Amino acid sequence: MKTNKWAKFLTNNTVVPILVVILIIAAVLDSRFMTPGNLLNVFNQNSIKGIMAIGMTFVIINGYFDMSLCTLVSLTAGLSCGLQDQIGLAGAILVALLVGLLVGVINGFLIAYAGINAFVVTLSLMLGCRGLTYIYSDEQSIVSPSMAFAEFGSGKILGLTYTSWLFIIGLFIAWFVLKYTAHGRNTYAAGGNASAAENAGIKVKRTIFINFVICGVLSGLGGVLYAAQNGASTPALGWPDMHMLVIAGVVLGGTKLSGGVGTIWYSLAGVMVLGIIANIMSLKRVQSWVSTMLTGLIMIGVLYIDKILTEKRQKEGLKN
Amino acid sequence: MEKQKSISVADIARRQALLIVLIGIVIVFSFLTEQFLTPNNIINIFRQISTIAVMGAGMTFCIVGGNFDLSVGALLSMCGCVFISTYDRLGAFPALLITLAIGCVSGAVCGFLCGYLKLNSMIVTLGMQQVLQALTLMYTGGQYVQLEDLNAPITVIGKGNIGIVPVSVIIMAVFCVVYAMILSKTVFGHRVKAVGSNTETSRYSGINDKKIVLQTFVLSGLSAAIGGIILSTRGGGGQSTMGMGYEFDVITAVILGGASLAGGSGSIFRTFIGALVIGILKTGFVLLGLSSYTQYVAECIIILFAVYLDISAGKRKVR
Amino acid sequence: MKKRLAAILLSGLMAVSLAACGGEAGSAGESGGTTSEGSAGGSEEDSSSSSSGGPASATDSELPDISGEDLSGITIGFSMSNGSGDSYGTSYLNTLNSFAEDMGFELILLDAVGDVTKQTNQVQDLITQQPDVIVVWPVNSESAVTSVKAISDAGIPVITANTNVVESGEQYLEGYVGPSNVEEAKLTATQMVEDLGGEGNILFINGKQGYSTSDERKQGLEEAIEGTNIKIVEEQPDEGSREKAQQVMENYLVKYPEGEISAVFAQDDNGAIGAYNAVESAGRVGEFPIYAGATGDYGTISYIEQGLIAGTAVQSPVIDAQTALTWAVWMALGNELPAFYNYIETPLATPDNIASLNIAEWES
Repeated sequence: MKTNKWAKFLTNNTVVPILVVILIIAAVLDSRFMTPGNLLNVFNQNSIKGIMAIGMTFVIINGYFDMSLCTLVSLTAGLSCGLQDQIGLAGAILVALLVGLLVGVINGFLIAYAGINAFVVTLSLMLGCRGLTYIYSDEQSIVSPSMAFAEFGSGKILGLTYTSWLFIIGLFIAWFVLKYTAHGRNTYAAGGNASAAENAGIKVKRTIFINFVICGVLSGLGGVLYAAQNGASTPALGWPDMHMLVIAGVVLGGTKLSGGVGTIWYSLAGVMVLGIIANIMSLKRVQSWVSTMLTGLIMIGVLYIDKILTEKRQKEGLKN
Repeated sequence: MEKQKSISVADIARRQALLIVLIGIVIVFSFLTEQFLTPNNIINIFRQISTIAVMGAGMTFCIVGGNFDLSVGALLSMCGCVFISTYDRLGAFPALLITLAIGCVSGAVCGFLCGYLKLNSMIVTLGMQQVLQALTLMYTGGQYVQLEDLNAPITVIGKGNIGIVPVSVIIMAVFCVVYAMILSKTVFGHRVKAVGSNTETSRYSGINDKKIVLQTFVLSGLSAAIGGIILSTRGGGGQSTMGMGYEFDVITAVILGGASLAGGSGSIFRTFIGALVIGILKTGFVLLGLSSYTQYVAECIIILFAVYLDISAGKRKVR
Repeated sequence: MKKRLAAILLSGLMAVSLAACGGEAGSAGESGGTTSEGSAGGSEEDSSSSSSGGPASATDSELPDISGEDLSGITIGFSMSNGSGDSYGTSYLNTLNSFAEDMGFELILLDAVGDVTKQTNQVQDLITQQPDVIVVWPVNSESAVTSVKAISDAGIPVITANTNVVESGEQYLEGYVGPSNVEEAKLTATQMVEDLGGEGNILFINGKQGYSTSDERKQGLEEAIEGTNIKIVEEQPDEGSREKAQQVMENYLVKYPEGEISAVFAQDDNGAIGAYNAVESAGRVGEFPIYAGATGDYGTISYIEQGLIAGTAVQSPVIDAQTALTWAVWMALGNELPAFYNYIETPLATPDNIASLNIAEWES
């Protein structure tokens, strides 16, 4: 009986066996992988993507996705560096986050209230941010005048960067919101079946709106953190597919693009799986194209496995 | 949404949002720069959009069928590089066959994964994009692939003219007309629309929706192959990353053209107009001496504006 | 393969020490080693020097001979900017690998594929593996400062190759090895000034935006035309792609009908060839000269021979890569770099002098 429970757990949470398998393969391929130093490295390297994945998780559980992340990061990165001379470091960061908020508001409003297709809206915002980034930065990279900013980006406590700690805190907050608050419940309901949720009295539109705002703010924060990490912003940051890598991390973790299913821990695992693969490629000095090919195959493979398992579950009459 | 019986000018404006936008920007640019309406510039614009328009036609099929194909950029790179290198080794005809075959096969793989295995097309085609990019890199070794003779007869595709009209524009026109007729006039085209608007219902009508989806992807792949041939023969060579980011321009063209992203409706002609808008923006800002990136801000505003008009006229489907 | 490499190195040594022009000693002090002319004139392989009196600020330090040493215990870490973006990067990367193999030392080579954040991560990975020396070819000169600082903090000597970090980052470095992007472009632009007689309107095709090499080459161009009557009337980026450069040029051709363009200056040969393709398509060949700030692709040499490109500074990725590794190994053996800036030779090539330069072909 106990093995049945384990089997159920593993098939319901496919990312767990995937993560375990990847860890084992990585450890076998290279002895340096399992060292504390390297593992901390992997976590640190993926914490910014992780923070953005938190925002994306909210949107995806709600049944949508956000493509504007791709270029929003370069815009906020540029603003957080470029505005420091005029309004100081705190001011620059604040403005950058506000821009992220604004983009989230525009996305949320157009998608939830105007009813426009999410792909169209977020794609056009992505284009808009791309143009604004290059125009604002004059197609240059911008250095952060403040050293404190760069030091924050690389400083560590107990081996984890400040950013990583932010990520961990964010994970817990997101977990709490999704599991225990009304908004969290509404998100799942609206993602699973929007009209049923509407009939049940849930303010679906407001839920969608809030989730896009969350995603916008966290994506904006991601850009600011990248700027801190590098001590400078580059206009090409995030282009052409950072949003897809974040979405892939979330989906790999088990949150479904169709909505209604998923947890924040899935996203953590998904992002880490991709990060571990990149790390082991570096350690084994694999040529870049092999790494690209593998990432692509894994994305398709995971979708396929997930599909099979979903069908199996449905056949056995097991509900999610 | 109740529409009044009498048709006002505003109504017409809303329904023809795309054309309004097109005419609008043409007027604005011709007003701002004197070179805009010159024959040179017009031919230039058409030539520069030929790749996007051809690929847009293919993408329209995918989107009407309810799917996205994000792999077309990488496929363009691959086909361009393969075409150039096989041309030197095997000659024009084999090179053409091989390149078109690659486009079709890649499309078929995507189509299989999305149509038969029913995997999410966005993620699947993203995965394929990575795979294709990797294969292209492996094939070219990262080097620029160049024709031995930069003026080989085959370059007439990308560079040549018939009279004053560039060959690539003629190819684009023929291709778009053919695809348009397939979509609107054939049984296949109707089936694609049916599958896109409601897959379940279409199955009850006896349509093999899996096969239809696969075929739409093959059409998209084929168009990417032709796009690759046009682009690579323009410069006489190809780089493994030359198609990177193209998929966004192509999808933007389709969106501007008003295809419903929920599937079921779309027109090649309107996609072409969408591509034209993009082309005008690209060259227009350069003529004005502004950063070429201004085009993206303009595209953002135009898309949102056009979509708003469409929605208020009750045309666009939601989600 | 080994013999060929040794031959190249030795002839490089010969050329350097035989060259006639005495250049000024370079910046940041130098100890020992014969200096020869700056990065102008002369060739990499041949001892005949057709020096056109290049800028004296460059330093050509004599390349040490490491082929006799036992290098099996040495590990060099290399963070590469982009090995698959263009032919130059690929040739460079391949040379790194083959050189390390031939010389017998271990090379940990990580390719950031042009992604700034990836480079930051990869530098961390390199530090973990504790090589003797780390070489960084920055994706972006500003962002890389935090990376070289991290390497320096970890106690590993670090140098930059091909592209330098900004000034604020130099304190963490032992030095820089590679071309002087500013000087190269200045060399070519000076030739252009001469050809145009100091007057004219030129179109500038910039490279990748936010990419330090482009910025430095632009600086070289501007320094050369300062004080003359030459004006840059247009500037657009080509994102490092020939196709894009072709499109940019097509637009320019529409905007500027016959007679209005004095010259086109592209940041590198990709841009110049793209521009040439557009000019040829439009049937306006010969109307104005096209210059390339620097050339890294051997295939461009034929364009110069045919006079399609009027001037460029030739930069061999093979020499670039081998020089960087040679100095890195030299440092790993416990020696110091002779100078902070160690520039490789990048001779000016024009249709007139190209034959006499005898540039050895490099693998494309």
